[in-house]
Amino acid sequence: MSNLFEVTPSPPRSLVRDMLLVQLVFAAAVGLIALASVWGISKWVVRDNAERWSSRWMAELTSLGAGLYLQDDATTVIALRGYLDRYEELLYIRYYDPSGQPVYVESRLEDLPFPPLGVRPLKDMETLSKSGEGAWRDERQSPLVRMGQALYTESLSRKTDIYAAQSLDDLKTRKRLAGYVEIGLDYSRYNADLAKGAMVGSAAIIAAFLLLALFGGAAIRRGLAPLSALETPLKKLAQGELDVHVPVSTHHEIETIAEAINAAATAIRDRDQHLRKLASYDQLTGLANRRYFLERLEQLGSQNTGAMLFIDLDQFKYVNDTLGHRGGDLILSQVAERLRNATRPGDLIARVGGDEFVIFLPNVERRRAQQLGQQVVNDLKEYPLSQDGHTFNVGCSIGIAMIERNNPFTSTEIVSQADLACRQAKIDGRNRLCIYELIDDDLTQVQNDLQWQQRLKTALRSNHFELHYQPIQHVATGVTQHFEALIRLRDGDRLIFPDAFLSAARRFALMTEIDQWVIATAIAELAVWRRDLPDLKIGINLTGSTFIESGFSDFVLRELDKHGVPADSIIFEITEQVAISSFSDAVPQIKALVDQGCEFAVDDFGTGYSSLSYLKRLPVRYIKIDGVFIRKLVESEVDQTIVKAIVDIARIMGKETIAEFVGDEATAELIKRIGIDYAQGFHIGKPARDHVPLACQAARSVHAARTAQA
Amino acid sequence: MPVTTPVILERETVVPPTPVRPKAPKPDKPEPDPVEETEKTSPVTVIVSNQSPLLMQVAASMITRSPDPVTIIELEKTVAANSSSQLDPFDTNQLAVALGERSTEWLKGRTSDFIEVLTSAAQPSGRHIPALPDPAWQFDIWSQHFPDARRIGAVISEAYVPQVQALAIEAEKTGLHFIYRVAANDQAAQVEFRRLTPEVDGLFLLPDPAIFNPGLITDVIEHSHRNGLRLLAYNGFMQSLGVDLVFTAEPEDVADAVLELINHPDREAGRIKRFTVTTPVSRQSVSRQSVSRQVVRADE
Repeated sequence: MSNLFEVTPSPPRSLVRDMLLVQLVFAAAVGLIALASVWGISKWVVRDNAERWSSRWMAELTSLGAGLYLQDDATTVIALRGYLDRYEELLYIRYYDPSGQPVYVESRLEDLPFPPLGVRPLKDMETLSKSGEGAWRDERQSPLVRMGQALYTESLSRKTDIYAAQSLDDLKTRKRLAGYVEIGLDYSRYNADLAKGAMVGSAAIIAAFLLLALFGGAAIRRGLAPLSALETPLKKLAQGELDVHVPVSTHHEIETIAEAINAAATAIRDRDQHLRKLASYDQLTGLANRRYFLERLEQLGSQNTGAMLFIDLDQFKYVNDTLGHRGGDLILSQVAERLRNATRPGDLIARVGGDEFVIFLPNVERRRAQQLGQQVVNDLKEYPLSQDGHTFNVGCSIGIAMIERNNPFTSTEIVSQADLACRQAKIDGRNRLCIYELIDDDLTQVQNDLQWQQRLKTALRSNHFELHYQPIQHVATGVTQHFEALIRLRDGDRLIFPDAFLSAARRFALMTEIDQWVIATAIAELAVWRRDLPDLKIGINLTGSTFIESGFSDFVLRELDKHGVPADSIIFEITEQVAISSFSDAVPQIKALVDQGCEFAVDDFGTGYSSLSYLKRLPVRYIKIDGVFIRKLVESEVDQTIVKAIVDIARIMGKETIAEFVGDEATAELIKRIGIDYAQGFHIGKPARDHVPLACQAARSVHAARTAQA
Repeated sequence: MPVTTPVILERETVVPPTPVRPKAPKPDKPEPDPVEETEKTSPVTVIVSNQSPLLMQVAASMITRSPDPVTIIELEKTVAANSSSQLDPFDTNQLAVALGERSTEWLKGRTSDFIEVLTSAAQPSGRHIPALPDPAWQFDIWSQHFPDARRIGAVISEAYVPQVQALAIEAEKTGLHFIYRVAANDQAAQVEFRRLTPEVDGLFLLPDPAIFNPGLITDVIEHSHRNGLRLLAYNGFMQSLGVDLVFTAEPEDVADAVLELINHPDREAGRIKRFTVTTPVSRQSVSRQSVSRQVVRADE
């Protein structure tokens, strides 16, 4: 069911269309106003004109008809007829005596009735005429409009001394109602004129605005054309096509935008190239990294033939110990340069590990591959490398896996084959090369690996992994609040130990996913158990590939936050080798998590570099002494001495120690005497699913008992 | 209805008001004709309105010029002086002279035998002093001033037709052509004046109260000016309105004419002997009241 609140984004609108729309709306609004104005003004003008004419006619007819009231004036009759003929709008002229009785009518209408004037119009005409407000109007029979006016005569008062008057003011007058005049006006003519005029005006205005809209639209399109021209390059840019160039416009505003887009495209292109390089190349040597190398091989496909060389530097640990990692890195750069020089154009070189390199030699035969491999071995052996005043003869072991046409292996598998051959070369005495010979067992192993790959993916997908927890006991108090989470693969009733599948997981780059599963699961289970055991701590093992992932610390903090587990309940265990080989990447990750409260333990200490310098700089709390020194601790004085030394050093550094593989009581007693802080091993407890749940149950019982007692 | 009682003013107590209009110079005014001595007549009662300075001057002139006692009844003072009195100051045995229309109206209810002076009535009821000069004299003066204006027109009411016919006959004798139109009222008169326009060179604005009113007067004058018509009128203030030729009588001349009629009761009518002829220097200067005046004997 789709989310009701989900808003479907509407397609983007066109700026040109919007501007045209605005222009059209504006033009239409102005046009409507103009049309309304034309109609209104025309109506007003026509009406005003008609009223002016009407007023004039009333005045003239008042004079013209005056003669009717004394005598039958033929001249007046002729004048009235002429008047009616002259003005077509006049339908009739009627005169009435003071009582409203008909006196005279002149009409262009046949059979026009001439009844006496009604009382109401008669009074209205008289009232309006006296007040000077104009003529009486009756528009009820529209388009016929009746107008009327009272007729007054004005003569000098009888008592006026006309000869003795010394100004007009001395002439006193008297008014006398003579009668009434009424005219009938045909307003349909005015209305027709109005309609005609307004139609012409409206047509002109509409035409003007259509032209305006047309030319305005063209002008807007023309004006925005440079902007529209940006659309295609911008779309390409948005789709990831970085090789776009916006043509420079003649408009300075657009030119600025175009230049900005071009600059942005160039910057994005450079950034993209830089990122690609970062993602695809080893920063130290400039060679391709493992991911990019495998990608390229996959791109080449199975039709390619050639050879895969896996190169591992011999005794490079010595270089690192002598020069430090910085110096070691510089030596690695020189090795990479030598490899470049030794290969042909078109050969693909990558650095796939600390001191491990691979070279894909396309289209070479076995013999030629051997020659090239031997040349690399000789180059490194015979020409020493110098750094910081030290000279090294860095030898290397090379494994070669031949790639036949239509071979059934993936690129990763071929690299693994070359890797196996390289291990064999080291076993055979280093500074040599070894060719991987595909035999049935190997093929079976490879096929097994392939099966493991599918199995691990299925396990991750279907949650077939489970965590078992081994207790770690505080030696001095005998209290166990600390467990190490150990992964197992459930296969029906059978449990598969990690030794069986971790190597395959590494080869198929599944370790990160597995580690993430372990972390998430351990934190989720811890969240449940902490309700009964609030001081419970869980140790989680991390592999190198996971640990150096850039988002690792964020992932951990997210999971802790998600389950409400405090960071100090988690102890991450990393091997000494992982911590030191990726020291520069590891320290920030450790610090980021330590800052949040997480704790770290160095696992298997004593078998790897055992570098006290690194140990001092690593922000870890625990040192887990490798089982090699614990298993025979009781019998071996050497081991006892080593362990004592490690404990002493740890104490001085403020770190706590954990002894692994404590298998019996004697060993437990001994480590107690030596001063080791924690003990782990079968004597303390085997890894199991139910250790912690049982402890929880016990805690609940104690709590219940105490509550009952209370 | 208010009852008016005229107040009789003794001769010695009558002081005519100072004329509003300065008296025009009359350079060649001859001495008034000596009134012929007759047998002793009855005292004369003059009815006058003090609203008219001109008529008051006429009354005053009659007092100074008449050998017989002249009693002045001032119309407006009758109510103020004796409003409650039922006595009528008018003695029907005395000869009455009505100066102006109001006096005539007032007297008509009291006697039928009186002298009307400067009446505008078309047909005076009895003896009267006509306001208009002799027609022949008028046309003569007209011709002197406007020799090219040979066609003269006038618009009058029905009542004035006899008088105008006399004018028309006299005009023919002097070689002029006099056309008149009859109008029922002021509105019709306005139309008739316009109809006359193409037929005449000038108009006589005869003082017909039935059709005349201030609006019509100013309209006709403006219309005439626009159409180049010469105008003749009989009121002094008309000159300021733009009338080309104005005939007015001086109060003393009117008084003389009245006294002459009183002394010659057999005569049907008296005539004013002298008229003042006023003409503007030009029509453009009318607004500045610049006039040229001359006094011409009407009976010359």
